[in-house]
Amino acid sequence: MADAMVRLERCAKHYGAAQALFETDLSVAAGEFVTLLGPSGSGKTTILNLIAGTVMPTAGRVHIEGRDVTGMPVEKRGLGMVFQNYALMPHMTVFENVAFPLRVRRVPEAEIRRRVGEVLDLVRLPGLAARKPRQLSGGQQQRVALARCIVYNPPLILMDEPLGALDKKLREQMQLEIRRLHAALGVTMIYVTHDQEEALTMSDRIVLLNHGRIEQAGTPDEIYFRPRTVFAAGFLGDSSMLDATVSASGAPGRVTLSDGSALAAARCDLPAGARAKAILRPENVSLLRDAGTGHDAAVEGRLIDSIVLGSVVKHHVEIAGGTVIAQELNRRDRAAVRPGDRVRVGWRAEDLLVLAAPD
Amino acid sequence: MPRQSLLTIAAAWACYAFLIAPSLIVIPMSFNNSSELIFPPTTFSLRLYREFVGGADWMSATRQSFLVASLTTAVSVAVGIPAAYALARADFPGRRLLGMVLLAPMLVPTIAVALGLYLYFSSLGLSGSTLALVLGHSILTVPFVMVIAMASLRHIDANLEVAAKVMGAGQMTVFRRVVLPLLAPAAVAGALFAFLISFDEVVVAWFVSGIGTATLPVKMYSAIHWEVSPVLPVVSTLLTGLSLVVCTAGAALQKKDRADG
Ligand SMILES: Nc1ncnc2c1ncn2[C@@H]1O[C@H](COP(=O)(O)OP(=O)(O)O)[C@@H](O)[C@H]1O
Ligand SMILES: [Mg+2]
Repeated sequence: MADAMVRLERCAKHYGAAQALFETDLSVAAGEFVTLLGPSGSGKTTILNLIAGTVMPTAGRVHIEGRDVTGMPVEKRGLGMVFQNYALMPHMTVFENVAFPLRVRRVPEAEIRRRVGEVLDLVRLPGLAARKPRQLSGGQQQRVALARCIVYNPPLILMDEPLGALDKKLREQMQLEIRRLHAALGVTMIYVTHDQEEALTMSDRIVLLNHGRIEQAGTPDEIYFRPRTVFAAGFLGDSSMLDATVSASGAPGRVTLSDGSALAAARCDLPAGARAKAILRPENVSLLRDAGTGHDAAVEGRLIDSIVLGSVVKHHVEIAGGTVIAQELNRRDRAAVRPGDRVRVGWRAEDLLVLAAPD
Repeated sequence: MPRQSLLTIAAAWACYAFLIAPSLIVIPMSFNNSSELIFPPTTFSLRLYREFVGGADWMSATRQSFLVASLTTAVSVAVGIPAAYALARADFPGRRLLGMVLLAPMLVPTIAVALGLYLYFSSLGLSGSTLALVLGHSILTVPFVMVIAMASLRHIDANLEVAAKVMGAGQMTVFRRVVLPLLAPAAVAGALFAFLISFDEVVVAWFVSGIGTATLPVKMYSAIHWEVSPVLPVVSTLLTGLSLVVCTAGAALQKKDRADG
């Protein structure tokens, strides 16, 4: 890709015997918002540090804006980075913190004053320039960290779980702020998180990592609706997974549960006889109260529990092969069901995903 | 308060009093109006202080001590702070070995260091010079500065330095604009320590100083040997006072530093 902002070419990193990142190719286009998503220890920070230059790859090359920067020291790369603990200089005021990258670049004093003022306005933090970081709330410190990063217009901004220390409400607000800045500045952002909702909310593209390997990369919709592995299906969104065996391959395909009941799937890429997981999203499964129509499958099971989550209710129903979760809107007039009741759950064949069972 | 802890506190104070008594005894003696060392003093005056200030050799030893202690302080901060930073942050071959070598003077008996330095400086023709004194004392004080600075570095987030580099700062700028300001309280504490150690030090000074370069403790030591001068309690009192002032200043600085976060 000619206009890639960042390109990792067969990059790997190990620490002694520990493999933090297996050989990985990754390309990020200019202006993109890419999220590195994965559980703790999956290699997200390692990828970010390889790009930043704070960690050298044990194999492979790193390219930024078409240049090979593999051996280039951190300070020459001209990137921006936001840290989880913000890494604000405790001995400097907010103003001095934000001015720091400009002073390093020997920008004239008058221009420093103008640009710092502008950028503090941009992150909605005016009037606090004279404070020290420890006199600010977590959210305000986060904004200073952002301001300090965008003040020198780096073409690429790396963020390592920048909202990890904030409470949920503030986090959601800052997610939107960061998206707003991304759109307003036209900058490329690579964002690390282990929070799937955050990744789904913010990203143009998600790179899902697991054990030092890219598990799947794609738009949030692609990863959410077309996970290619059981890990991906399980990591993004809620999934019910049933143990099954493929009985017919192709489109349409079919799987068999342990009690012999057959379930139709819109497609199945695994060979007949393969051990598989049949995967259903709760929002695609209904609790059938009457001889409902519009469902390709209707399976009987035993209600284990119904969990009310404000606007929705999740019914956990035990059927052959595992537990399915059926989600419905929490209406005042919904008919009550009790744990232990025999109930029927249904879904459409295109919502049943068949993926290879992990070893 | 339970009896047990009252007893413990009383015992601790008794111990403390026993240990500190010798240093305090010299204070009343220094105000004695007599040309002999007498305890308890019978009359009070500043006569011995006048004798001390008027004694040309006492004064030159005092000046020499201030000179040596100041230079030692400068050298040990200039060497100890960057050395501590390198040992705490950088990863280079031989790092552990270098750390052990730099800290070794804390473990080796001072008399052994002194003898070694004496032989070493003699062979270089430096014996008896102020330079030899400053270098000798610096060998003793650098480890203290380093230990204090390394303790402080453990509490300084290494991410701050990474962040500064990402923002374009070179290694020197990172050290000057980020590390040094954060290390300043530790550097000051280390400097005070270095000054006091050098000012009080007698063993190394005895071995490597010469006729014209004797420091105050060396002069005191020879005074005890040859004349048992009545001025000795005065010098002791002044030394104790100086230690007290420096330690108090150090404690106040640390308190201020902690309050500033
Ligand atoms: N400096 C290091 N020394 C040894 N192992 C490391 C080091 N840094 C990371 N690792 C290991 O590499 C793996 C990936 O780490 P990291 O990229 O930090 O994961 P993540 O950011 O996704 O939580 C982890 O198993 C971690 O223990
Ligand atoms: Mg991480």
